[in-house]
Amino acid sequence: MKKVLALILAMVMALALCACGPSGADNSNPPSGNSNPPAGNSGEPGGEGVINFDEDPYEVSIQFVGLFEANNDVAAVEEALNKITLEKINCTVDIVPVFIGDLPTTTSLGVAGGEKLDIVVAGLTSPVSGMVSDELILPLDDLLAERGQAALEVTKNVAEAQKINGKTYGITGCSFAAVSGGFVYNKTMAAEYGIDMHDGMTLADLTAAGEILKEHGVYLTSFGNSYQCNYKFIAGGEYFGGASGEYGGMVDPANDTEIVNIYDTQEMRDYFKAVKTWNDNGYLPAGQLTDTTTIQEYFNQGYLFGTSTAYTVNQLASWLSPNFESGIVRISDPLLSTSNVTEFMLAIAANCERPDKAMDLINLIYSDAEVANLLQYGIEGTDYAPVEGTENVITYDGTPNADHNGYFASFVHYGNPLDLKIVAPLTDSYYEDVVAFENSAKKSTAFGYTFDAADYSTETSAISNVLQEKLPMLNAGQVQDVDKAVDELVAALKTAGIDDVIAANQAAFDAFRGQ
Amino acid sequence: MTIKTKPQAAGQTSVKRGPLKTFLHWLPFYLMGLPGLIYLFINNYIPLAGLQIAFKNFSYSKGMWKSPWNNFKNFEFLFKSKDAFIMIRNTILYNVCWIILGMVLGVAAAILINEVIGKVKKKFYMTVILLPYLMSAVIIAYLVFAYLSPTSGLFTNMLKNLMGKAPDFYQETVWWPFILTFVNQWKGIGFGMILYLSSILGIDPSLYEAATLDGATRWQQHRKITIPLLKPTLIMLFILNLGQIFRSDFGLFYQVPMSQGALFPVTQTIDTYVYRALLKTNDVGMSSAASFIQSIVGFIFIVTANKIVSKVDKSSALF
Repeated sequence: MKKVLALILAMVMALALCACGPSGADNSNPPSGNSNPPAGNSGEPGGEGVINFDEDPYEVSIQFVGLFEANNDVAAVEEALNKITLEKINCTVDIVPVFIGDLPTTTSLGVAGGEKLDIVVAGLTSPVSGMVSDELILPLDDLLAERGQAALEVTKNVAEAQKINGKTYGITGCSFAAVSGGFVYNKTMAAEYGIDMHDGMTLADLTAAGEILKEHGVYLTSFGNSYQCNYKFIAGGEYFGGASGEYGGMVDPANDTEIVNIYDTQEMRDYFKAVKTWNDNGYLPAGQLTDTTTIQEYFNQGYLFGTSTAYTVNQLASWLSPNFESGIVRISDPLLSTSNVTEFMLAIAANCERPDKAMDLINLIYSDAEVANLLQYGIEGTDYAPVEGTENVITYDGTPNADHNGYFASFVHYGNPLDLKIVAPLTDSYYEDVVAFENSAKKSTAFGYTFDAADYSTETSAISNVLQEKLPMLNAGQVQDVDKAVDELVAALKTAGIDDVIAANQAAFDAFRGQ
Repeated sequence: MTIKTKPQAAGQTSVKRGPLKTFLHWLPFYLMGLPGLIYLFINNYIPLAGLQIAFKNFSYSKGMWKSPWNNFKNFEFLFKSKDAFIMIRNTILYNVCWIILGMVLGVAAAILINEVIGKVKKKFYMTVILLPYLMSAVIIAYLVFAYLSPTSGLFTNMLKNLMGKAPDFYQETVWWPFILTFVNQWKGIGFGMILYLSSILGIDPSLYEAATLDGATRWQQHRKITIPLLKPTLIMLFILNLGQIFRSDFGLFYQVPMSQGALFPVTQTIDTYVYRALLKTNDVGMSSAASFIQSIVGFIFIVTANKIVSKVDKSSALF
């Protein structure tokens, strides 16, 4: 015991000496500049003297959300992390892999059952506002002010979007949150058939592409049995309550302040009519509503040309195929909206024993590039390898982690994006591109606003059901008469009570803007 | 006589022994029953405290006991919406139809299997009939899809070749009451058959021998012997099934129609509605409320049916 104590005291002294140097000169990277990411120690976690090195190190658990990867290297990554965290914030790290489908229950049952939970991933599978009203996560403002300076600094441009009712509940992994609508496509095929794909394409351009593709026996796209509103990817817009606009939306969010039922707009009708012509002309596969093969899979096989998707600087990474070159075009204008910020958030569980230590770790993730990269990608050499001739580009190919079973999670974004390495085929220009894209985005009038629909659960559950019933057929263009089907959808939404929800949403939004 | 006097004597002595002695006398038996009772208590009675969640605005950090009450607000979503009628109608009508059909087909299958002579053949047929019962709904969904798929379905293509066109099964509601009924019976008949068969095997063979000697045909034997002797089993299963009348086989209604929106008017049941409505909100209180209602309705049905049965024929009642 004495030995341990002596060791800790020695460490505190050593650290105190180190801390004298760079204190005050806070080097945490301003998000606008492109500082060289994996530069090593940058910034000081929290303020001086905040971290108590005399106590036994606390073990902070952090969720690591993926699919079915084996994550065999978690222990090795933890060990590498602990070397840094013990020294800097006197705690150890416990990385807890979670299957994305289990995330909501793991978190809620963990809090309810008092299991050990510290840092949880919020906003990914359940909205942050819901987690707040369920009292699953803690408000972080005091902790952030006291020991979260770096995290605050990195996310300062999106700080308002991290707040719910004026309080911060999570720190985003998407501090560059601009998104536009886009269309990802098979570039090899486009060149071969002479299809002109360019930014700012219209529905008519896509229809023309569909005609050319039909001659070559390839489908333009497929929508599957989906009840999200794909029109968002064509026209952009602000949708409240998820990808189908359950609580209404705004068509031109950079200027609009009135929330409407997005399905009751002429633009939506025109879009559905265009999709119906696609279907009638045979640009879409016949059995798409019952087809359970994923669009990714069909895309890889060259069975379809492309699909509408959200456009971000690194979106293309999820659409790569070994068989051909992929491309992506931007269709709508980039927009900064709350929902993009709240998708990948780190929050602290309500039953966390030591929120202060959890915050120390969050802050370290945002200030220390080495920690962020370890957590995001694992250990260099075993879990990934640098691509030769580049500064910060890495690849999984040729490493033991090529099958993603070493250390890989598709659904986490830790820390400052400018600190993180990037995965090929992104190039070193990524850091500039992402900043430029962010700066070109318009801010939604509802940026920072979230509608808490807890009082309208009866209506929202009915609305959700109506959309699941009526939207897939419209999405797939398989209705007889678009106008009639849209009228029916709008009428059913009205009966389900969407007008009440929108009115409440508008009232809350007006109050938000009045602040 | 001796047999009759013995219990009396025992009874008299036990009265003399007093309650404590009686208790001590039965103690070993109580002890033998204890593990089972403890299990029942832990597994079936302690969780009853959780019923309160249905009436609370559940907060994970406050826990079950400290969450605030919100009376019947959790129940509203089930009844306030316009879908309530459709889902309750579907749930009850499908169940009533299937309970009756399941009985008729189950008994018929049991009788027919019982007629099969030859042990190997009997086992073979039983296995074949039971097999679908052991399949997961997802596999069944794909089996159905293999027949009815609009593009590659076996049955759709057959119709196309024979008649020139085929209906788009996954977009037309009219077919699904029949498809679901067929699938449900095909899947469930094996289990019902085994229950009835075990009762049939318990029937004294001498009854049939006597009937044969009297010149009764096979049909008459079943009508006059098998069915009347199956009555207690039939009534018991009927009452137990009524307890499930407000529930539905989620896999059958969700997976088999491939969750097609166009089919909701005939495939939406209480369970699928609750799943779809709460997929996003994740509200424990509301889902508990739905489950609570299902249990209460099932309970009322069981008690009422039992009451009616006991009025008609006391010995056949469940309790």
